[in-house]
Amino acid sequence: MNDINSFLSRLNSTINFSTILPEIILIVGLITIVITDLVNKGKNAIFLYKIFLISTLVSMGILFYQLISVIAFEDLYTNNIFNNLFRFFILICSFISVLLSVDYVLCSKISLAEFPLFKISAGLGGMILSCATNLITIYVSLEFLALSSCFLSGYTKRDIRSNEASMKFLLMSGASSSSLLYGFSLLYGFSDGQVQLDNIIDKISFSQYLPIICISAAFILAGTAFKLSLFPFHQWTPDVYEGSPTRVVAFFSVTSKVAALSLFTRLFRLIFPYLSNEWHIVVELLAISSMILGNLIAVTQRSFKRMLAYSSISQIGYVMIGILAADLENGYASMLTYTFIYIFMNLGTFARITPFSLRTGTNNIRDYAGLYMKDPVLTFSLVLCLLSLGGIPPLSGFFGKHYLFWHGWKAGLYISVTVALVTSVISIYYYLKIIKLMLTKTTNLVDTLKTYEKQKSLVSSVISTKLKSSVEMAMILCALASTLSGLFMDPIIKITRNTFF
Amino acid sequence: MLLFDVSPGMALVSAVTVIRAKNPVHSVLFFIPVPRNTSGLLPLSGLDFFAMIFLVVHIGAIAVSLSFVVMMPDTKIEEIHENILRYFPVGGIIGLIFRWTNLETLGNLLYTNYSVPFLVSSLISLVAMIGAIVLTIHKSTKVKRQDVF
Repeated sequence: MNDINSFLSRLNSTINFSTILPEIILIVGLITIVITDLVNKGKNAIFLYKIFLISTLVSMGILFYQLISVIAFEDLYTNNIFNNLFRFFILICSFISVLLSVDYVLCSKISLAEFPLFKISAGLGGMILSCATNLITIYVSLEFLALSSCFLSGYTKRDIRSNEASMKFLLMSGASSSSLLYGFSLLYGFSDGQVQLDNIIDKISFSQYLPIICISAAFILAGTAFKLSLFPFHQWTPDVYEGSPTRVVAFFSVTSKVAALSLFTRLFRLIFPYLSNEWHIVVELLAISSMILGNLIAVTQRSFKRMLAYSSISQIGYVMIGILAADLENGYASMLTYTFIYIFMNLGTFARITPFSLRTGTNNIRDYAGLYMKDPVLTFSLVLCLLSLGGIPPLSGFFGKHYLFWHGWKAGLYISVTVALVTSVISIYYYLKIIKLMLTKTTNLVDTLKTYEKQKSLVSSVISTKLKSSVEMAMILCALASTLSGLFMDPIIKITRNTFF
Repeated sequence: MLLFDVSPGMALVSAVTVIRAKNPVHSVLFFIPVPRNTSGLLPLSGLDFFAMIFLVVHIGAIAVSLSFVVMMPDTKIEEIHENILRYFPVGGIIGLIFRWTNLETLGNLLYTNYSVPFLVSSLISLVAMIGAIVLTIHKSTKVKRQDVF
């Protein structure tokens, strides 16, 4: 009895569960999905998606409430604004990408109940990763995210490309985790057994162990660069993005990148401040090469998904400039605003590709020719999102890039910003190529577009209007966010300013 | 006391048999006494938690997956000439690395300070189980299913 009492008193003093309440709600949603699917025996899968959406919304509500206060969760969590913003980003990603995939339910014959399950678990992993300040929590949540994304990418198991994508994702996440762990083990050893990030900085004597800290930094950089798909750790991205189902690519192209960004920033800011010069140079090199490589190769692509994969590599290169340009008065404002805008642009583009590929079964860019005549809504919103990705005013992509490059120039990163500007112009070429293809009227329509049916889905004709419009809702949401968040930049910048920790 | 006198010898003999047996099924069968005897020696050096974990991991997971490996492909019975005696010193080396393995202290820390990684690892196990089934399930008329409800 004594043991239990002392244990409980210790439990009460160390844990403050209100800080992880959003994650707890997602966990409850996960368990509810498993149980409801079991009880319903596979029928009524739409209800599971509704559970997911409701739990995500409730989580977001509680997160808003918590944005005001800063609470530390003994040794594992800190709820400063930086972490909360990243949790919010990941919740947005999950919400919109599940809106995209609701029509998947009716049009395929694979087991569908586990799809929202894996999305919830990946979102959970991302959220815990955004807040982790403990080496163990970082590793465990990273593995959680990687495992769920791996299952998601291999979801259509009849398709060989999906199997290949899942295999490559597994190998990549294994390599990145092992590299990261090696760096962590060096930090753990040389800080005399400390796992908490703050304690590691206190205990490591940087002057004495500088070569070892550099080795540790190199391994951690390799591990996180895999996740962010920076050059030269980007080789997995095009194949995985092309092979996985498009809804899944939409989800983990934003979620895992956002989570990896928060991890990268926190690790390199907290642990290696004395090495600022060294790792700044390396990250600058990586960013420049990612931008150049991503944009140049995307020019030659014929598949839409592969082109978007290469363009996302270059977008991460731009975001790296934002990380390098962080200073005392602005914090990570530029990186956070660009990430926020990038989420909507990317998800908006994928929101248009998914119904198109569902209705015509192809991902070739050539097959988008003359889409204007068949489906003007899809064309127009795709045009908005692609232009925003390219950085054309007055869409939000322009404002995000402008803010980013301005901060980069102020911080003295002249080479990076010049390269970024040049490669932005190159990227406008391949975005405009698609837009021109869609908007010009062709007299001989491609065969696939001749059978394009806007209103009906391919398999079943009994669809309620509410479902069919969920993808449209996602499209409209993303289009609006892509355009308006540029015009209403000031409040966003004000929120993201105070994030230097 | 007889148990602890006999254990090292049995572990050694079983390890040699694992390597030298011509039939792969014999190899897997003689793999089981090796961790059993080695973990019988571990409580002597005060590593009680490690003895249990050793049993669970080696016999429960590794021996079972070894038997699956032997079961599935068309393995032929042939001679293998290698000399790897690695099971016996493993327990000693692991004992040197860790300083405390008292189950109570471990439980105390695991449930309070490191509760969040603990919860997340339980979620990982859940998702991994479901995911493995999702990726490999094959619904056809030939497969017999169990009617749960």
